Amino acid sequence: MFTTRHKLLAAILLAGASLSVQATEASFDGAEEPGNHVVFHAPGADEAGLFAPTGAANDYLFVAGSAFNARTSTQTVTYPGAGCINSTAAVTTDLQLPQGAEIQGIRTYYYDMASAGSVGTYLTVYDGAGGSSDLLNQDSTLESGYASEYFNLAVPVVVDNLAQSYVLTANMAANLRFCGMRVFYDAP
Amino acid sequence: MKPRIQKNNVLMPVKSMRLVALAVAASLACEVAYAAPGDAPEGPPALPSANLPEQMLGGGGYQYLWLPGSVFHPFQTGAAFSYTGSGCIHATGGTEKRFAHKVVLPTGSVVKFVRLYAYDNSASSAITAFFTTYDGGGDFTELISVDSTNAGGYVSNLGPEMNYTINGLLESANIVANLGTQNDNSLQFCGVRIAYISDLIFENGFE
Repeated sequence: MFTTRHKLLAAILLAGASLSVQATEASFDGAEEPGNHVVFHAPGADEAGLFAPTGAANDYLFVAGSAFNARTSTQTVTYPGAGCINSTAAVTTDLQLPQGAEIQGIRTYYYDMASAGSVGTYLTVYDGAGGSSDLLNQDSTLESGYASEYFNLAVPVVVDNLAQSYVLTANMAANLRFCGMRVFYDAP
Repeated sequence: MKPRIQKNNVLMPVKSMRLVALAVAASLACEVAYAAPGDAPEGPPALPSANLPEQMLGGGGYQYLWLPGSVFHPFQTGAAFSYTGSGCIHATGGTEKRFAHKVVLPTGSVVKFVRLYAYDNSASSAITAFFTTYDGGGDFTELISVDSTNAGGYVSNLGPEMNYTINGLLESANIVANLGTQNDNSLQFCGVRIAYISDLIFENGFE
């Protein structure tokens, strides 16, 4: 015979088991930094995109740091968790946006708890024939744990997929974590 | 004398002028800064001419997916490679020479051409790029391949015309690049540009 007290106890045990399963799944992706889950989002023009009027830039492409690949076989890449990585050399990924899109800037996500050095953010184009150019080259400045920082392009870049390829590249000092980039752009 | 811009045309010229100004500014920006880690100035860009097969439809037809060599990853451990600069990579030894990148395009898109970009100053080897599909069940198909030619420097080579329709339900597609047997920077893989036709509109990119 199950009493109300028994049912309540069973419910508590089931809830505890559920939490345990969730914790196991989360730890599969690595542990988060204990006691530092507050993310400081430095203000930037990109934050207004969601409320921008029709015709203004309001599109985003968010790529996690763990989706970037190493450019050499000699560098070391470590995965602390939560989509963040550290690498001893630059990591990169291609940027595919519609023809004619206007790139406004990039918000970089990282973890820096008063460590030396910074996280570098690059937006680079290649023509396939040896030509390259950095359209954006900025270093992170915040040292408050998890943070994001927006880097605005002085002049918006109009995407031309016929003429060149576009890549995002990051490099970082030891003990820093690169957690991703969010491209702020205006779709055609 | 009246101004040249008519009142009922004010909006369009302003929009056009803005786009032209942005394009010019972007072009200027392309010529001044080479600060990306590992990148260095390599001289003026050598863009392909306007009359190549995969450009014949102009802006009204083909769209392009351009993947530089530096965003490809090796099939497995055992690869030894280095970043040469300008989006190019080259083998430095190792046992794995095959590199891959996913081709993410909307279902229904028709892939027409693959153009290989390389730096080829090797008499003994070449870069080969494949357009390969996989069914996830052990079968794969190399639809086309294209080799680099020894041009004593940067070169682009066009693969044969394709008419492959992307079908995200049935199979995946990759570009596979074999970096060849030359283990130095005289043979570099600089990427591929895929020309395709799609009447679908993707406001937020493909990934």
